[in-house]
Amino acid sequence: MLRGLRGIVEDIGGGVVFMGQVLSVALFKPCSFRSISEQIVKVTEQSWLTTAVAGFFVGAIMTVQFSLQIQQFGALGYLGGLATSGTIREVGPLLIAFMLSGKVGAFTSAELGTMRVTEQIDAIRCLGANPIQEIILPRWLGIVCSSFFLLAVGLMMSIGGGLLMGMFFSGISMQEYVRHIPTIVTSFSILSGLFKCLVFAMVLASICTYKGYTATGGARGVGRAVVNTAVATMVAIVIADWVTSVFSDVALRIVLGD
Amino acid sequence: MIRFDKVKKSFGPKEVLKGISFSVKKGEILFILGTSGTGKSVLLKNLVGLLRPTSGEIWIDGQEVSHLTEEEYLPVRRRCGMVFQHPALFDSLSVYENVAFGLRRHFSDLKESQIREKVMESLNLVHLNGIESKRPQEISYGMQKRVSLARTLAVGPEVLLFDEPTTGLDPITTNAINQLIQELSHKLQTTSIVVSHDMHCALDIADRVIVLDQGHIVEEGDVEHLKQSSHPLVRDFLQEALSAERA
Amino acid sequence: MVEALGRKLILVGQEVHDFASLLVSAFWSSLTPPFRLRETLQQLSFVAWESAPVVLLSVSFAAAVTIMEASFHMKIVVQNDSLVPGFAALLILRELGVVVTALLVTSRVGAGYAAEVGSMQITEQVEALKMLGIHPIRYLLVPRLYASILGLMILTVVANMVCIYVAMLVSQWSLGYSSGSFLMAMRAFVGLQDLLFSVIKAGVFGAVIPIYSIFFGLRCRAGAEGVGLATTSAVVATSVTIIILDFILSYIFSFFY
Repeated sequence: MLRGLRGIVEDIGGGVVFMGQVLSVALFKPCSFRSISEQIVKVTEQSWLTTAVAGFFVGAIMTVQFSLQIQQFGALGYLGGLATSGTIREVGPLLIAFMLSGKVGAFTSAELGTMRVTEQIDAIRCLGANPIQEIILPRWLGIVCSSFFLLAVGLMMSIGGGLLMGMFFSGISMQEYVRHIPTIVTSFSILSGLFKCLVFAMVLASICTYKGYTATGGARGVGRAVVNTAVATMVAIVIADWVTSVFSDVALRIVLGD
Repeated sequence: MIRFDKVKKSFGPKEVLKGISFSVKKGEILFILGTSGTGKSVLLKNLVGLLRPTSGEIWIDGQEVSHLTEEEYLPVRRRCGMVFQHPALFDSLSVYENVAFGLRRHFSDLKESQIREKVMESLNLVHLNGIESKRPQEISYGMQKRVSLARTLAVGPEVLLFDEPTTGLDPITTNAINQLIQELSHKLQTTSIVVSHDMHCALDIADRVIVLDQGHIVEEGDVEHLKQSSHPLVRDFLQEALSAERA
Repeated sequence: MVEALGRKLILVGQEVHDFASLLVSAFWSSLTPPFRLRETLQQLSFVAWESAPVVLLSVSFAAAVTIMEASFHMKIVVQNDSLVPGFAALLILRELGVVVTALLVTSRVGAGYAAEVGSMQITEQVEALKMLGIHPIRYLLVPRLYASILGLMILTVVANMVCIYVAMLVSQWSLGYSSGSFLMAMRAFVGLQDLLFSVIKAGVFGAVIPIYSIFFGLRCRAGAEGVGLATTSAVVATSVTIIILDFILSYIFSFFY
């Protein structure tokens, strides 16, 4: 138990030092724009289908779960608004980010871990290049950009999935479903959902690059790095979810002035 | 030209190198022999700054290098080329781009035509032609090893460091790589340090041999001296190599 | 062009065939002895006991967020907090409790199994099993299958309890509910059947995890890259399947309320 706790503290410390290195490289020795866009294209191409499918079903699930209860109150008109708002503000970003931590996070940490254990990272250093500048920074920035984009796409798909279920499962027309969306889903909600997506994207990118870069011990070590990445990312995302919710709650109070 | 002075290296509580001192002369082929896990690779990685010694000094041409920063290490790494145990080729790049990788970083003012010339030259040195556009996955393991060597040669190092160059290769490719090491050291006048557990190779091409056991140097000298050694580990190594020769 | 398409189709067909035969042999060998109780219990401790800290920590945070979000929505729609416990408990019991738990277990246990079996495959341990006359799928899958199904069910019940408890604490602290009035308000929305349904979901998700992990683990190609790929594929396939199954099960259960 105590050893596990020490491991976690060491991991967090190591991760902070690592991100400091990435940041200083980003400031003083930026990588080329082309290498970032290559990563963006790669990640997006690999993961858009998974994200879209996940988003669609998350939206559909939320509508199914909400519709029975709201029906009891005779307020089916609010179904569209409530389900959409609930999806965009919390459940959507959370579950879609979980998907991405499996897809993007695990993949990247496997890729970097393989480069580490086959000495490719040492080779980069010996050939006079900085591995953080050459391979970590482009991946980090690429993953942040494309995950943010993918999460946003997933949220849009979730609205579609919810709408479809509203029509076929709850039997309300499209007009009725969308009528209350603008009144409940404020622009602040959308902003707060997108803010969550951005934070999750950064958490995801940081953990998988760190874990992959520091992998040791052959094929088994790569496997271990992937498992640790997936678990650490999910836990960090849940905690980040709470932090951002508190943050946007406070922000809303400040904006409303009470 | 290279001198290790009481170099120690620990990983946590585990001390891998327990005070290693030796020197290498210009142009010679030095073999460092030892069983697996005795810290041979660690020794090489300390020289090029991939690992830093816990204590002790490493001198290259009158310069103490173990305290250099990552930045200051770059010229050292250009002069000391390392050939890794795995081919460690970048699998997203073609063979040509792999060999050109170091050139583009170490010599930023080279023109594309000059790079091309150097890449072809180094591929020639390892007897590989016409595979520049292939990906690392598309060529055999032995070829990958040679491309890896060409990548190291491309930047024109004065010292070549080989980490287990023949491990996991069949006897025929092993011989080819061995001959290549000897050929290069004659042709280019490079100094070579080869880390290996293959006594057979050492007897063939080494000018001098160091035997490492549990973090200490237990035997040092030329091949003739080694054959007279009475150290049990060295005898075991010799017996194995000689019986292979007879067969 | 046509040839390439045909080849691709054959490849996909091969994969579907492989997966189907794994399913059949999993089904058959899980119903016939020997059941290897000791191994199953060891695996159960890995799935349930060792995952518990991570799972419970995560669902607690998820519960706190759910209360905050529910209160945000209720303020807009009905201008007061009276429905918060109900909606939060609904979301937790029917969705978040089981899905968050299942996805976390996927990444810890599923990825772990895929890496483990993948390493066994590339170090020829699976071949060695076959040489000893042991059926690798039966040997590897059956204990893990039972452990995963049972473990996820237990974890889901505990996670739901902890979730509700945290939700109660948070609403006591931020919305001023007493625990009694929270539970009263909650009962209006959810009942014991919700817990039952979530346990059924957990059982189904629990079966999905080791099946995919061992399927991808056994197809692992040599080298560090192969193990990484097998692990990643297992996690992704399992997560997507869990979300889709969750939808289907929610849809079916909605007719029984």
